[in-house]
Amino acid sequence: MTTEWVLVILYLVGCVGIGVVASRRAQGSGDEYWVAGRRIGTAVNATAIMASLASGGSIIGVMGLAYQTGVPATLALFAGAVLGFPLASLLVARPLRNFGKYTITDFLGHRYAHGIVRALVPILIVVAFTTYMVAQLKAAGITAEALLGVPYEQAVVLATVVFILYVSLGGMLAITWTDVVQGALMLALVLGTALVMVLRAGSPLALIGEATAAAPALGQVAGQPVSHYLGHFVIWATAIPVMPHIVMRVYTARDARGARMSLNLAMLAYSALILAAVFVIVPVGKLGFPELVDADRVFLEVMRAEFPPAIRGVAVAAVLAAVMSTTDALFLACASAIAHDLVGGALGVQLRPRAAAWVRNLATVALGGLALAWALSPPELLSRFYTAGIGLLSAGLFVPLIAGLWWKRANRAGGIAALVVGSGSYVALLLFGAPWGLSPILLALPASALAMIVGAWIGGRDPGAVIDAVARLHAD
Amino acid sequence: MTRGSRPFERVSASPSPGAALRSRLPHGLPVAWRGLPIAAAARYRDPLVRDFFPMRRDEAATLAILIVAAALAFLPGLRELEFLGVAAFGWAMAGLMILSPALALWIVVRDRGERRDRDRDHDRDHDRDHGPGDGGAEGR
Repeated sequence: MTTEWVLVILYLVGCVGIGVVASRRAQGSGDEYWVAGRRIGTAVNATAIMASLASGGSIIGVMGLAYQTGVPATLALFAGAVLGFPLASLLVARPLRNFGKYTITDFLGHRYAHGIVRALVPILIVVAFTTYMVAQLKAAGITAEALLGVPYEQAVVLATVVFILYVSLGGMLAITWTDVVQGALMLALVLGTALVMVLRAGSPLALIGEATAAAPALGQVAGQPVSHYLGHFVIWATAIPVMPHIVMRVYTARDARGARMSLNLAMLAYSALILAAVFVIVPVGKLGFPELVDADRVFLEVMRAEFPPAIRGVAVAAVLAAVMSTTDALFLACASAIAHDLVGGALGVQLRPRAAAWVRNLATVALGGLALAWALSPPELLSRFYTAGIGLLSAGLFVPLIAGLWWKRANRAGGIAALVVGSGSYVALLLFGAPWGLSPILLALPASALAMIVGAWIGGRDPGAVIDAVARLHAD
Repeated sequence: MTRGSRPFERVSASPSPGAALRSRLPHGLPVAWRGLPIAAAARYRDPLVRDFFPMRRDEAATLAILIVAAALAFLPGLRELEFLGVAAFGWAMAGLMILSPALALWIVVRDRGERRDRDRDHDRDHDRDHGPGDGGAEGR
């Protein structure tokens, strides 16, 4: 336990140290703070993107889910996110990077210039991402409690203070540097563990064959209707191109090609991480520990049985890294939604650089406080809340963004209608239930698209200058 | 003069394989009607396509492949089939997780290679016309 403690304390101090070092550059301007001066190279950006997406759920959760519900059901949930990245690369990365601002609200507010868009988009982001952050903080608390014996409340407070310090000090640059360390740690741990297991077993196919022979349910599709899997798949596939913390990573790249390359490299690494966990580590866990009551402990049990304490310490740090690398990116995206989009955009307050720095630091602290207060007494079905939050983002923003970038007839009326109908219908379907047992997203997205078409038809074409400006975003 | 080097030179007297195949198709409809669906589709397709900003053909093809692959992965029959103890649905999802980023990455890498070749050709042409060291890379 001492080794594990020392490694975790070193890791947390290192994160704050990175924030302090990065603050020298980050506090200089909005460009430096929000998008790290747009100088992030492809390999670094790819690792940071992978780390931002791979949350605590991607290490502990994915293995627990596969152990409990089987390999196919688990992959159906994660494959949607993996498909979302090529969609982002093909549809969004080049024009948004050429647009060259900070947030998704910047583009939507410019394309559909109206107060409703400039106010509603950041509100949707804050609502959706606050639930996501609370879920991550809860995961950090549970992990620290289970692995280090720290009381849940103390662990959550400590994690939040560390986040607030390095995000408010170092902005995107600090997040990128810490995410690179965290991403490398996660990849090394999961792929390294899987490699050791494969070398021992001879081949991954032998391993999965042996495990499914002993526990056939591991390879079978759990008894959920197809629409359940399809709903999760569609939510993540359509959410990735509009997720603010992913879009901000597009803006940090040196150019459009670097942004696209980073997105796809990140996804190859993420796929390798998930597939190694599901096809190698879970079968080993199923064979070694077939009767686990808490499925989420499968990875930790495998680590405990197979590796010495120093490696277990790295495992604890890697799980915390997974949680932290996602949460810090969410913190920054939410802070940008308040300080940049709402205060600077919707309210139109022009601030001097020093005052702008104060506002974004206050926004980070306020969000941290809100998330902390909620995480100290989280609702029981938090994972449902945050999946619903991501669905809300997807239902509200996907059609306006993609149509705004690619459809010449998209106009302000269509954009507002798609935004309001998409998010409104999703909330209504969640509250009152979707017909025919369908997932709400499968109806909200078509409703949003229909609203866009009707709005475009009623509102008439945008002026040629607007269309020309969007056309220029597609240039190589 | 080599075969086929003159404009409009007829290189073969035999009909193309496509024409040969079409001549053997059953002729249930009057000749004028047979092209009608294609003409109608083209007539409606063009204004629709013009309403979108153009996408490179390889990128559009990648997008189509990914959407079709995702749709095929959800076919109901794949839930029952098993290979090495895992349902085909699971293998399809795993395949999609590798195919989608790999395909999109290949497009970006290929684009980068083409751009580099184009820049090199441009520099060579410029050097040939103006001599080397005459600001060959300007404007890039």
